[in-house]
Amino acid sequence: MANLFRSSGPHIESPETIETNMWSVVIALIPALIAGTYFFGLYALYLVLASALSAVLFEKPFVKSKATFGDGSAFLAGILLGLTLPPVVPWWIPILGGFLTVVVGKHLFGGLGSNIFNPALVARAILLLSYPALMIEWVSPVDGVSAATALQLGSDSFSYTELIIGNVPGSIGETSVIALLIGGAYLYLKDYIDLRIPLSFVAGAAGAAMLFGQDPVFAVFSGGLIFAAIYMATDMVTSPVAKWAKIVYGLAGGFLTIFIRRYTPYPEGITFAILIINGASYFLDNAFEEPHFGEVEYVKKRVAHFSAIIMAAVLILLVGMTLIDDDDPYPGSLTYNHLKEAVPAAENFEIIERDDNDILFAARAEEEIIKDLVYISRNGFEAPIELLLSLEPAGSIDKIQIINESESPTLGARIKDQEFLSQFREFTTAEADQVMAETDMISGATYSSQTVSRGVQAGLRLLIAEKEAGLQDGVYQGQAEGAQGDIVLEITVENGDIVDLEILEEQETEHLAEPAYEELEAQLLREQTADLDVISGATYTSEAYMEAVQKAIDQASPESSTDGDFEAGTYQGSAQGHSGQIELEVVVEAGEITEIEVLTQNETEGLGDDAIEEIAAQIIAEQSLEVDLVSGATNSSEGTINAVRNALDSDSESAETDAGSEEDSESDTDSSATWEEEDSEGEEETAAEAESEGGLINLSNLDLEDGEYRGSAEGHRAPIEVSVLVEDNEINEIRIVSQEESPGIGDEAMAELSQSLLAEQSLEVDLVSGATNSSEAFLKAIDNALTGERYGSLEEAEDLQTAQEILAAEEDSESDTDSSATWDEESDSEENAEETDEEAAEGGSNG
Amino acid sequence: MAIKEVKKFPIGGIHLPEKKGLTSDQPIKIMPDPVEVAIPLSQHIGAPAEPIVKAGDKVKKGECIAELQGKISARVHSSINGTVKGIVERKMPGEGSYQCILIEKDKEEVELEKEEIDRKLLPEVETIRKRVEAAGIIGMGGAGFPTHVKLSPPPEMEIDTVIINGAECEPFLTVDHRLLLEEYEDLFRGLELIKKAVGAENGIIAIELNKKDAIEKLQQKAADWPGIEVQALDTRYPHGAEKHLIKAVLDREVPKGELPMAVNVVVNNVQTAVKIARAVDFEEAVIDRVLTVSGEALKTPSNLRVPIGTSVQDVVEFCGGPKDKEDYQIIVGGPMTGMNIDDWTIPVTKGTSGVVLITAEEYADSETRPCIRCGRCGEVCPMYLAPNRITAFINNDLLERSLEVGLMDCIECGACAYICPSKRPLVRWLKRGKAEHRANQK
Ligand code: SF4
Ligand code: SF4
Repeated sequence: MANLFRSSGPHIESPETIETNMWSVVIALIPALIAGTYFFGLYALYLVLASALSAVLFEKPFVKSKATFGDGSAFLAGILLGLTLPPVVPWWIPILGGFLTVVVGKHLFGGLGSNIFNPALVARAILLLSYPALMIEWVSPVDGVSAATALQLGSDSFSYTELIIGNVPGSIGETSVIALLIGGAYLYLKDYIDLRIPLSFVAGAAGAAMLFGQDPVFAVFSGGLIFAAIYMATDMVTSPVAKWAKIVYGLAGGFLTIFIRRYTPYPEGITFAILIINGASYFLDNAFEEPHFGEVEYVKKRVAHFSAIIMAAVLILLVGMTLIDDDDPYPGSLTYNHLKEAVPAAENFEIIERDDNDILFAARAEEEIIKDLVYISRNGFEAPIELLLSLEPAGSIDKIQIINESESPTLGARIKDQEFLSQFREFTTAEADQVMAETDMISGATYSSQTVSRGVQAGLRLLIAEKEAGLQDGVYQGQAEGAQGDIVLEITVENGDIVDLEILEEQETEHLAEPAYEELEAQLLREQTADLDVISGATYTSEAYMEAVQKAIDQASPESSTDGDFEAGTYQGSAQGHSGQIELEVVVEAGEITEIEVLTQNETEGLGDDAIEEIAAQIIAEQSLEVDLVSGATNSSEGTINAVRNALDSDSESAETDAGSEEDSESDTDSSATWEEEDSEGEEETAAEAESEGGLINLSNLDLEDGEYRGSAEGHRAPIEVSVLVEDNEINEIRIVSQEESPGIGDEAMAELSQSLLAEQSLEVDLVSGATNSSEAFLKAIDNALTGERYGSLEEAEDLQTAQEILAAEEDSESDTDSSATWDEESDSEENAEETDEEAAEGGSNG
Repeated sequence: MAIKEVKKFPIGGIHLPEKKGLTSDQPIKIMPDPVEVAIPLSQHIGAPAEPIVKAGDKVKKGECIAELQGKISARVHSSINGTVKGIVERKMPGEGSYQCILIEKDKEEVELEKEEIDRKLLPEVETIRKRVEAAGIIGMGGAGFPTHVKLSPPPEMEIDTVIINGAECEPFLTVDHRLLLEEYEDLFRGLELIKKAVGAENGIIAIELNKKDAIEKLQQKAADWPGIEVQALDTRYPHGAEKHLIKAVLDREVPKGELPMAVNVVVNNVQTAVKIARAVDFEEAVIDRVLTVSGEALKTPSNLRVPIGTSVQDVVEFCGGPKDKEDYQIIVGGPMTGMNIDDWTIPVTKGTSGVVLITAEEYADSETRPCIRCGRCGEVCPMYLAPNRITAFINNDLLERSLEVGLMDCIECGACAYICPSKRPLVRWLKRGKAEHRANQK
């Protein structure tokens, strides 16, 4: 540009150039690169170099510079991108990334200095959105097998030390906090970095984490936040220049990162957070123009800046609060208003128990519990059916409300009819088990109405479980391995509450453990659960402590079972995934899930199917269904978990009765594991009110020897064969030996019938509407069994059961899992309680 | 004596490579009168002086050859004994040119007779101002504001402090340093006279830490001069900027668009104070000045006392000329705020603090590259401006916006352009913006 002032100074210039700036940052990144190579192997190093070289190469056509590496900015951007890649991406990802960085991120915007967005992050965002599965594939630095990052696993997954050193799964250059800080210190000492952005970025993130109730230290040390704060957010071209603008920019970036991590499916919130604040840079520079030397309004301006920041902070805080309010305690579409509507007189609603999405609230007025509210969510056809039950303290349902459903508008939606809903009123907790049997289903909407009644039943059981969960008075010990040795402790239960805790033995580091003990004990006495918050700095100790407490509590529990492990066997289960059913086979050996095999699935290739594998691996690793969903594939993840749960449920219901006798008996080949195909009779489904079949044996004056009785009757397609266990002249258990009723209708009907039958000890039970034929056949089969010969002893029946199950599972992978299941009410409820316990224990160690 | 307290201005500024060692130990040499001087009529801010001689007139050293014209103006005196040749035009450093009275040296030397004065006495305020005016003293640090005007503050202004600016923060220049060491008697006396003239109680001589010997010497000598202190300053550019000197020494911030008087301070350059002492006590006019001739490209860097009007060529040749006939750039003034010249005939004026010859390699003429928004320019700007933004507005014809973000506050110190890694000529753009704005106002 022509200039009239060619001869004016300054006539000397500093040795600083764009190159010195860029290369210093590259030098500062060397420690991170070394750490990445060390933890993830040489391949990681190649990836970073590939990214950098590709960036340099693709920039060639755009610049005149003769220097091999141009001004260093492309190389730096390439390195930055490379370091944010997962260590196992295919080789072409960094090369594509390099291209996206310089061409799309930089030169399409007009080249160095004109780009609004951080080029490396533009590239990363594009890659993340285009190849989600590749870009979130993490491996463990220890053994190179695929693993979840600290962010995905949550704040207890890795210790601070691990996070600082960086031997955790994550992006190549982002895991080692210490290496990043060394580089940062180098930049600071050489005066290439202004600390305003990094510090405020970290502060913003820590603040947001605290606001969302997360561990701020963990939030800062995980997910590449330090990397971003020092190297990404500070990118000169795309960050503001004014001093206050930098602070606001950093705070906003940190806050957004945590916000995005929490409220979106992208756990690595960094990329999008920084791109967003990049966009605000220009505005921030304008808004925070410094007062000039000698400006009289100087002080006024400062005050204005300060108050602007404080106001923004308050605003964010308020927004954050409201978000938390309607997100955290209330799942699904449940809101505070629903609760208030249900019990207008209540002053507050306390969450008493939370089991997945099911919640038990105590509605209080003047400290008295006036109502119990139960929120239940069950999968409907499209979306969950969400129920809200209101119960009198005595345990009877006085109101039932469907707060959300998306069933078919013509039929399914009739579950909202008062006629249907009103029949649930008057049920009490004592009758929880009859709910299914005593509900008249809506014809044509059997599935939906069954879902509702199952929900009601679950609601009642939740309440029962809670009421019964009271601990038995006494003193109980628990023990677990801490960081230095066993921790042995003792809890005292009085009137069902834990009133005291004493540590009998421990060898933990005193100055860390002591305060943790105090804190944990206070929490325990307050919350009455072993699911406590881990004390930072004493993670292992806290976890061991909780484990020990859990063990003690287990002993104090009424249905104390030595372990809540799974029953050995092979089970099948299925559940709705993203697109179609996911069918799995679960193998349990010695109380542990050892294998999960996918039988059929139809999920998105490269995403959903990977998610199934990932989830299955996690379940096996953690021996729990409480695993993290794979981001981007939530449906598939949930489907997998549900399928495993269904499989295990089918298990415990069948194998629970008495797991004691595992001794082998010759497997009875007579078992009806043979499936004879018979022509179906083309029965039409009628919802006609079925009359109770006459001529059935009267159970009230049953006079039979203890043992197993078998009988069969012609079912819908094939004979239904049942085995009935009788003990003390009562039907103890009903097993289905073989059946071929319509899945989801016939088998469910039989399930219901057995329950009512066992409860009432009478064959005079209501037929299940929509499945009258199956119902009748089933009852007939039982009748036949009881009127026939004794088939064998109870013990034999037990052994047979196990053998049969294995056989059935192996022989016919297509058979409905329910085919050889039996329904036993006792074990059922026990199982429920146990599951709750188990989950509580899981929750405890997961924090 | 240890240096007690070191002060500095709080925000901005840079450390420059000083390169003062070339001349800092060299006593001031007296340059012989050249054969010809061209004395500019307008070496100061304000109206040019009115010539009172004509071609052919014989003039003596120290004789007034041009009278002041209007209130803000300054007299001009002959710096040699000789004959007036007429009015000629000489180029100025930068844009424009001077009207100069050309005087050719006579053969015979004439001694100026001096009247001995009792230096213990303090003359009347009016006497001081008169003699300063008669001597044609202007701010000799380069600003060129007529000193008699500065010494007559409006009566409503209470001046409590006079600061002598001995910061000399430009690289290469050692004029003030040598004067502090060699002519401190005149300096103290000058400061005393200024204090008297403006009615101030305190006198402070502020010196940057890179002139440690001077600070120590003056701190000792100051004991003899009540009401005068010596203040050490950190070495940081631009401490010599008036407003920043005041901020550093007194922590008073001169409001935007105002003079130091607004915070009850008068600032004078070291050489100005020396000249005031000479003018008041001996009625000596400003016919010469001390300047530093230095630079890596010069054969014998020196501190020289040079008659006003001597051409740069004479000065450089007196110092042996450039080392390499091809490889040099001449800068009049310091390398930060001075001007690059390509005309040897440019005369030394009262405000010329130095002539620096730097090599082409040292000379800042790297290719201008895109702004990478590193923000360093803003970090070093002592006026807390964001030069990258101001210049972006100027270059995109958004002069209005550039004014909003402080274009006119810029003191053209050059810190921003010096530090810029993209080597953007920020100061040149700033100057252009200011010029455009001034043109618009007319
Ligand atoms: S030249 Fe102007 S803008 Fe640049 S640093 Fe100096 S005062 Fe600031
Ligand atoms: S120093 Fe230069 S590159 Fe940096 S912001 Fe200022 S003008 Fe831009």
